[in-house]
Amino acid sequence: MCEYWSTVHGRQSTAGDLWDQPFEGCARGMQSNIVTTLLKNPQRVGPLEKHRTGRGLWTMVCGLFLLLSVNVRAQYSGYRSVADLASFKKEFALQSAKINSVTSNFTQEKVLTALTEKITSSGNFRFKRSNKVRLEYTTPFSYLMIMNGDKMMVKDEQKETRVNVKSNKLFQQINRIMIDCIQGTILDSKDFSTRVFENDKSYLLEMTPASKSLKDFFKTIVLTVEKKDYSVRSIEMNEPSEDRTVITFTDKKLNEQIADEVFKL
Amino acid sequence: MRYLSFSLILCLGCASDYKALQASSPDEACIARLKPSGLATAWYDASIDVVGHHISGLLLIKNMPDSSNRIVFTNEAGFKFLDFEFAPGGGFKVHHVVKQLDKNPVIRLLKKDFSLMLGIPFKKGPWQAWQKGDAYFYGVRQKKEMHYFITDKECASLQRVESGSDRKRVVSLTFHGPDAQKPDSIRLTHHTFAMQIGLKKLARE
Repeated sequence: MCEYWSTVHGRQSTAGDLWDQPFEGCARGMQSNIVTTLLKNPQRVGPLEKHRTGRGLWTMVCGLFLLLSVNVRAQYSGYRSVADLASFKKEFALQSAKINSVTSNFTQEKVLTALTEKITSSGNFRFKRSNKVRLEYTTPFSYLMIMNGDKMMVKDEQKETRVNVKSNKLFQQINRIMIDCIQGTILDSKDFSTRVFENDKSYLLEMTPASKSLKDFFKTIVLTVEKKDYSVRSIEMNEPSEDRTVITFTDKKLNEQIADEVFKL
Repeated sequence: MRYLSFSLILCLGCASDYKALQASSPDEACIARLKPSGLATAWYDASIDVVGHHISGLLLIKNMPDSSNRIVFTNEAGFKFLDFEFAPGGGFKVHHVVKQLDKNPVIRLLKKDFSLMLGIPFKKGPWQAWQKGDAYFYGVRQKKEMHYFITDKECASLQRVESGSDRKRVVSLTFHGPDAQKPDSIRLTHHTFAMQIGLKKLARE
């Protein structure tokens, strides 16, 4: 059993699948709204089909309205599509490359939608090019995560654990996504298909996972980027269950000197 | 000599944790006052240690409007490990569990542990009672298992909760803090293998 726990904590399981039988009571909490259900499963429309001949036009209008509703919502309030994606991509990479370090505070809000619960935590964040990240939660609990190259260290209130990121594919992916987001190379990532929107002050990158392994965890990741300096303002991780985690960065200082000691494992 | 040592180890292994209990008559007033009657909605800083492996995160205990209880365990960054539902009629449902934990024995074990924390085995009797020194044991049977809550002689405070067979203690559970429904901390210990769950209540904004 301990091998299953260990995989959660980052080590590869070596025990094999001793318990391959799925648990009978297991019902994964995938919630779907009616629009998604209708669009994904037209065969389940049922009652509409019965009146197709008499109400074909009406059905078409309703369908169009639904599609438009979805589209308007997906466009994000106050944002418009970026017309020239190629030039944005080029500028994003160029400007992000100028960011050599980030020092910031952050607030994290975890929302459990079905349970109408949320918990807010906060702490500080450090990034140093090219692959050093320090994320420290200070309130209402203490937790420290440092990534330095292929090495990672997590420290909670009781224990320090060191992990070689290379030993775990999921950790590798998360590590790469985090670095890609900060370094402005996420648009080149094969892990996501990305749509880009903008308003006067910021860009919004909606990233949809391409691989099944990431789709299990995220429906989308929405990144808000400041237009003035191309730094990340917030990261919103939306799960298939409609739960979400939003990390908002405040008091950002770019390109300040950060000692390597800060990322010591 | 070797045979003697081996026999001694065997005898120690077979020693009953509940042998010294003296049967007593249940004090209904004490049962009503101190029996574990569930936990209120709260977030906890959680750590689970299993045979040398350590997982930390945040655990939510949530009382739902339909009187069911949900237990959600996420890591600090919000990644959800599990979401279990305990229905008021005794039902149990897994709303979400990560692939690595989606194994029948793991879910069964966690179900039992969280069920004990929520006081579910103590919802109804019949009650039995025993005395051991200054401690009073109140027990309910569930199939082959016995679940006990243990009070002091005066029935002034709940000392701990235990779960096991007639002879062996398998799990013990302690609650700390003045509010029984919202304890400041909770510690669950398995006695048949190295597993501990520690919870520390988080301050809400």
